[in-house]
Amino acid sequence: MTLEMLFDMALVGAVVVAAAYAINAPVLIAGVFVYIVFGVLLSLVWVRLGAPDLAIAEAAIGAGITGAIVLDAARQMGMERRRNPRLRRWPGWLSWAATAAVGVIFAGVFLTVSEGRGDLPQRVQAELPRVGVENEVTAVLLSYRGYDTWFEVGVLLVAALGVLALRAPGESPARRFRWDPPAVADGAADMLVPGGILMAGYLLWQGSRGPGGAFQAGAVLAAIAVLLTLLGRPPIARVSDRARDALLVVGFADFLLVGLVAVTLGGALFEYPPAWAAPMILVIESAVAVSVAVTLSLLFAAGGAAGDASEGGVP
Amino acid sequence: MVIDILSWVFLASGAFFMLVAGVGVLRMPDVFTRLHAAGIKDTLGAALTIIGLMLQAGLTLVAVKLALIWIFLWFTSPVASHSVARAALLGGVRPILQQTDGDGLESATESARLGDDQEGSSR
Repeated sequence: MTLEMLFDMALVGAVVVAAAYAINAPVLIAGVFVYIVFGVLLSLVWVRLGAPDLAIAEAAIGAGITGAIVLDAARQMGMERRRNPRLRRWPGWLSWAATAAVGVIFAGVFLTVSEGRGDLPQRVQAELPRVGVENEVTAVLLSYRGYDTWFEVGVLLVAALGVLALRAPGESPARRFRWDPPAVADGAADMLVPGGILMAGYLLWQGSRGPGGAFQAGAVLAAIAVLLTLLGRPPIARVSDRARDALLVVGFADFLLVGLVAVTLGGALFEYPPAWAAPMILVIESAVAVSVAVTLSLLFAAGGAAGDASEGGVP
Repeated sequence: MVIDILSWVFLASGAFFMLVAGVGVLRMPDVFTRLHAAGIKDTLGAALTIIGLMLQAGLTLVAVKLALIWIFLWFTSPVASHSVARAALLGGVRPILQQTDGDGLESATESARLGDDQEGSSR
């Protein structure tokens, strides 16, 4: 047994233990914390599987943004000290059975797919020069299966519209935390924000060559927005409603627009002509990154009833 | 060769401080002392590990990126520790202060057990 195998087995064991504890934690807030740890461990699993793109996305979205949203939700529901009520009741057994069934199905799918993969990786590599990017993941996401990614951006848009629909017309979706933000954190944020924006730009640009891309860049921007929201200055409140809506839609619309341009140039939808593929993909990714960032920060900023935004009597 | 040895010295001492911090987080009686232990890992442990990795990387872009991560951690970890401590204090958590009578160790473990009990019952 090599050292790497030992590490992998310890990692997988830790993931399973974290997942089981997150569900069964005796105190709910502890389950939330372990869920965040689970996300970090899972991103390490992606690193070990040689999928750095997914690792970045999992760490930023799965552990970071989702963790912040779940933690926030638990706090607002007064769950810091509440015990987990689902222990020793029959739905618990049902969920375990359902989890086991899903696990078996996943294992079956994995075994079939990994056997029938054939020469797909080679074919993806062979076509890369015509796609205009060197990163296979970006090529698959934005060129080979452009439809899927376009619809994913659409799902994010629908989620954002759902959050906005819960607000009265004209009511700001961004709550303001009513507390004195610590001066130290406030000062540190002033230094972190420009660095974070630079980092997001780097990830976006890097996406065509290596790990990175629109979703990762958007998640980093959203993390900055969450930080500023916690410090009582939500960026989403600084733009007008119209501008916010435009930023939410721009990823979906721009994706479609570029796809249609490809059609007028004689291809199918999302079949970019090789000469123009690289700039077209960059245009799509930039717009998608903005929409992802605005959507994720909206999901956090609009959450729950803690701020004065929801004090206006929304039932 | 020399660089390799130096690198491993840094990595091993980084791992040592991480381990110490882990023990500290588990053994310390209250939020503030636990944060004090965790702070060792966030700053010293991370710094030593990153220096060790930079020596492995040599003069490459990877080393520059590691340096940037180091700077990032140097800003964020103390700020995060401070914010958690402040939030705990504002949230009504009081540090466990023990009277220093003759045998410090005895009363320290006593107050530690008390602290754990209080935390357990308030959940």
